[in-house]
Amino acid sequence: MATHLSSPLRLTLLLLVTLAVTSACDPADFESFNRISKLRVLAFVVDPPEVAPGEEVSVSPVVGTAPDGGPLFWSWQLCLATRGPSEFFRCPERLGDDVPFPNVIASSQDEVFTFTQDLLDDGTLRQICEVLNSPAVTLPSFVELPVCEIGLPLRLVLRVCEGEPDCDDLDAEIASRTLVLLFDEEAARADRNVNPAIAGLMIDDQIVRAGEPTVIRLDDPERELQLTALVNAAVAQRFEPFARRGEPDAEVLEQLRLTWFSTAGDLGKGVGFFADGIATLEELQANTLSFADEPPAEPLTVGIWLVLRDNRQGAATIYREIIVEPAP
Amino acid sequence: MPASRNLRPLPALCALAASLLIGGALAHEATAQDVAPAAPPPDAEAPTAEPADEPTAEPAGIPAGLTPPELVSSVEAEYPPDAWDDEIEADVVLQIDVSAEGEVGNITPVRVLYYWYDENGDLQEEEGDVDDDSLGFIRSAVEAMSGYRFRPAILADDDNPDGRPIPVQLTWRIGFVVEQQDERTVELDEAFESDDPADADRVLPDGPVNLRGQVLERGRRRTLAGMRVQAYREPDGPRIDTLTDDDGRFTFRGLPAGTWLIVIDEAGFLPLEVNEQVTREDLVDVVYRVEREYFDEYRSQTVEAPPAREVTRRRLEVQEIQRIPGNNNDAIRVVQNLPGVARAAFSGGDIIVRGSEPNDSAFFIDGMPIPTLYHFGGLRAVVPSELLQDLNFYPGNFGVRYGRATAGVLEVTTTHRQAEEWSGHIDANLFDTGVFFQGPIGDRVTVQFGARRSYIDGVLAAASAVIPVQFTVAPRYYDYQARVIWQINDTNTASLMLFGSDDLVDLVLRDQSGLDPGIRGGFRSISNFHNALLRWDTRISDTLTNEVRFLAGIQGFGASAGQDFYLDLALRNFAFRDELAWRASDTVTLRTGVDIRATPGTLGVRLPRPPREGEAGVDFAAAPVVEAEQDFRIYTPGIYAELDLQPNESLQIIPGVRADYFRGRGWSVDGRLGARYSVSDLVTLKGAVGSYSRAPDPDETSRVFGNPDLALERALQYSLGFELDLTEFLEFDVEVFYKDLRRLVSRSDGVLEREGEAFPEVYNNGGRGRVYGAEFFLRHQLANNFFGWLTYTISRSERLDSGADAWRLFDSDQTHILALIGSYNLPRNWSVGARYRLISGNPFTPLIGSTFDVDNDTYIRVAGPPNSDRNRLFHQLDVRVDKRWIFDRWTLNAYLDLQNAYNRMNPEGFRYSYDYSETDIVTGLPIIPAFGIRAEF
Repeated sequence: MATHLSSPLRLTLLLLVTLAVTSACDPADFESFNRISKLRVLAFVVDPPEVAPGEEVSVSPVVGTAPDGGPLFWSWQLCLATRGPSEFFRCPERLGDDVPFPNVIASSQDEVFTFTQDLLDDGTLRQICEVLNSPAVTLPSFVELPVCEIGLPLRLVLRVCEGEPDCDDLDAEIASRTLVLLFDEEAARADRNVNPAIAGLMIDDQIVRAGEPTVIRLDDPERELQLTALVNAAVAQRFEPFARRGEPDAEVLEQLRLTWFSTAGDLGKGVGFFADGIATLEELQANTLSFADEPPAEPLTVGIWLVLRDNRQGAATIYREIIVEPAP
Repeated sequence: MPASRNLRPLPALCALAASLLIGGALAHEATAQDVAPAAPPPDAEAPTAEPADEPTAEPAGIPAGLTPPELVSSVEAEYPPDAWDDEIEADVVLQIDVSAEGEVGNITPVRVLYYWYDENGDLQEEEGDVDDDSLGFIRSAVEAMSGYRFRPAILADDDNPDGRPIPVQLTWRIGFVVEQQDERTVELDEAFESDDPADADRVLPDGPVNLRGQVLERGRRRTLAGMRVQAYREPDGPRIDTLTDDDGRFTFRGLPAGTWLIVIDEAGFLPLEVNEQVTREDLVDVVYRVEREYFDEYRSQTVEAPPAREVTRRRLEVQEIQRIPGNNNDAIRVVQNLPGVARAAFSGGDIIVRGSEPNDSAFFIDGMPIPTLYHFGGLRAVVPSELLQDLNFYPGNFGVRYGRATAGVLEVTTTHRQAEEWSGHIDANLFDTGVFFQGPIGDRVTVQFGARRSYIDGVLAAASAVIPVQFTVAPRYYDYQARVIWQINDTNTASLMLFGSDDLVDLVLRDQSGLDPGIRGGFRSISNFHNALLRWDTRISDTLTNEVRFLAGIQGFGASAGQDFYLDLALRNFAFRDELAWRASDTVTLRTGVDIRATPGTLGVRLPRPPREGEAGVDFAAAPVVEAEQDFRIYTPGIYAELDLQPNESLQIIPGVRADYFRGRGWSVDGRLGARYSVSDLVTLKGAVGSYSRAPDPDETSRVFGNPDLALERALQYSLGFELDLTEFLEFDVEVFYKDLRRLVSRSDGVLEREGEAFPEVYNNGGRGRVYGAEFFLRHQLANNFFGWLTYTISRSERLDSGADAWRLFDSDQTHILALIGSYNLPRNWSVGARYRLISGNPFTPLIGSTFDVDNDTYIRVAGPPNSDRNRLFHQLDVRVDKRWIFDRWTLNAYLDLQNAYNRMNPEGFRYSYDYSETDIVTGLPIIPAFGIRAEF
């Protein structure tokens, strides 16, 4: 008995270790997560990231595309519960006879999904939480019990089809995230989450402006371009995690995660972090871009996305283009 | 009576014969005979006392609890001068009293025997009259006997369990033989004076011993009895021969002077030829060491197999299985080659029995649970093979002695015999170096000590500059064993073993900037246990035996990845077993026992819930993390009883019942029935049916991680087969089996109500399983320098998960498992072996797409039907070569174990791109040459 007391748990942890070690050793024979060569959803920017009653919400997708991609067709849904990721986050219309609310709260076919949070007031939010957490209510097996700490968490689902308005689940790009509709008192808190911000991007100490592709002359094909994301430390908010409210020294600093994407070249790293006492802001901001493996023979337009997240579903993004010219 | 001859007297040799006559309340009389080694001449090499390989025969009729008196000091009896001229030898049998203080009294001669050689050189014998001591032997024996001192006899009984000294009466034999000594050289010349000149070249059978010796086995220093020693005087001289006695000793008398060729040429040994210069003046005393043709170092460890009480049992002896290629000398790993056992991925150590998870089987050492089988999950067994006597593997339908398992049982038993001499070895190989020593302390105590430590950490430290990890502690392991075996008396044997194991690795990635802050700071894994195992075997009477086992120890496991993920487990393990066996008659034996386990412990964990068998894997970045800190207490007492019925020599029926209590889950009562029927000497039929229960794993019943209300898992097992004893060494075993698995723990999406609140159920007992198949085992036992196996299993293992509509394959369902193994001893101490395996690939779940989890910035796999596809066939050849060098007092063995000899890239799994749109096959281990050397004395 003692032999196998926690074999599955031990296996989980050892798999994690193996994953990290092999990722350090892994030869780059797969396309990198950070290379954009096809239609991909990179992030949602939801403004505001946590929605108070009565607020207008704007949900913008951050999408990477191939240069020769077709037109994109969008389908948004905001649902109480969805089927799991392995079932493509499908939203059934209803969750059974015991749930007196529609499952699909809102939907849209526009690229940017906007709605006003007058759909569910504070009392309705709490009532839904109570119903979904009630042992007396029979729910479909895929429904997870919502954790209603600061509000009602909903699922936001995007389906993007390329080239035609309707496509099969396996052909669509499907992405999902949590969206919290705040209770009234949570909406009034001073440490309520706001999206972080990226001020811009510098390459080799040169600011790259939106809509103005910056020309970079690659005198030495081995040269690494020095990239710097302009992120101010102040965008990391101080807040009290719900579980620790009321405790002394409960306030913590948000952690930031910056993901880099490019259409060409090799990024020095795919993700940078900022975490109080663990990872510095410089670590978050700095990166490199190299064309040593595939130096362009002709001027090459390279798209670069930056997606900045905090650890409370806040997000921000910028897109810049550079033109890499080979040495004459 | 013979005519007198000129023969000089020699010091008397004392031959010991003891018979025990207990006066008073005891009525038995027994006789035991031991022959003391001959007293050597002053300048000869003192022969080493070499006790016989086989245990000495038990004195017949010695009452239980009685220890005979032990000789402390003796007095050499003087050869009576009156008998010198007659060259008479004699045995004088005396009856003596040995007091409770060990003093000899009341010496009474009861018999005298006389020996002499007649004119033809034939030995004559005559019993004399104890009242007629004209030659003086009796007087001389009595005088010597009065100076003997003994350690008194000890009697242990209920009133005096430690024993008390008692007076006893016994008979003692003192022998008088005629033997040459160096100081009589001159006298020998006179003795060999003869008028017949031909006597100078003739062997004189009544002459003095002028060549004698002892024959030992080279490399192991054991005496060899019954060896024919031939002597030729070259070039055309006479030829004579003799046999060595129980101590390996031989003598030649009256050899004429000259060069004698001594030849020892027995089957199984390399011939020995030595020239000796013999004279009529000197006694030549020699020691010959002959070398076995095929060295088998563990021959002496073969023990009589205990009678079968399980219908299907695969018993393996250590010397047979250590040479199987591809197992790194690990006896436990050899079980993976047996029928019914699936191959573990990446040559890991998991033992997957008849389509069941490793957790469903139970593993024991001397009846007690083994905390863990391997270092680092499969690298090396934690118990070295040298400590083991045999392995018993039950792939299913095991008896009631074992419980809390629904698949199979592996029990290893450690050596429990008294060592006759000090021996040991040092072993160095690719992974580690180990030492092992054992030897006697006195006549009743044996001590054993072993230790082993890896050195791959040194290798990795040297290579640290070129690998992307920095080891704070490179992977290393060690294990140790220390044991005392005490033969308390003829009916009680006890042993205490301390053993433990420790695995540790601690590393930091050099570049952590790409790592989530939550898992920065390094990775660490430690796993250890330290145990004490007490074993006490008692033969209460000829029909009643009792075994007691007690184990106490600590076990720990800790692993962490940075700050965010960790697992800490600390256990205290206690186990107790007592089994009483009563042979009620020749046809009925009753066995009953208690089997108790208690494990208090603490668990601290912060991890995603682990993937279950049948699930496609864990998406770490997206999986919710669960945190728990809890104390727990596992307490499972069990009782069992079985009857072993043998109404005749052909039929054996074993019904049994077992009840186990699982704290928090109630009782289970399992009935089992097995039978064997020998249709003929060639054919035995066998069959069994039984029910089995086991508790869910603690993480499955954790209030935070799982569902504390889970019930026991159950299994019904059926098997039917036959065995053919084709020849003395060749056997063929066929068995078909079916297992019905019920109430399996399965993932659940349901919701529970607990104290008015809703909680995710996480797991329920809604899973089912079924396993069926057939096993074939052709086995040539270790004989005639060869052993080999051909095993084949065809089977299917399926599961029906809770809420699922259709059955799916088990993760390790391997339809065909074929293994061909052989090892052959060549001359000059070479041996070669090979293992070939051909095995179906494991099922896997194809991935058909992915979705993007924006919250965690990661893709989640979309899986197809579970285990609906299968990996390619696995096949691999392993080869092993051993060479042994034998020296006088030690041996050296070197081996090369070439795993995956033709470098087959067997598929073991898959790697995926970030969005699971691309796949790459992960292959198993490449060709690995594992080299090792071992010095043994």
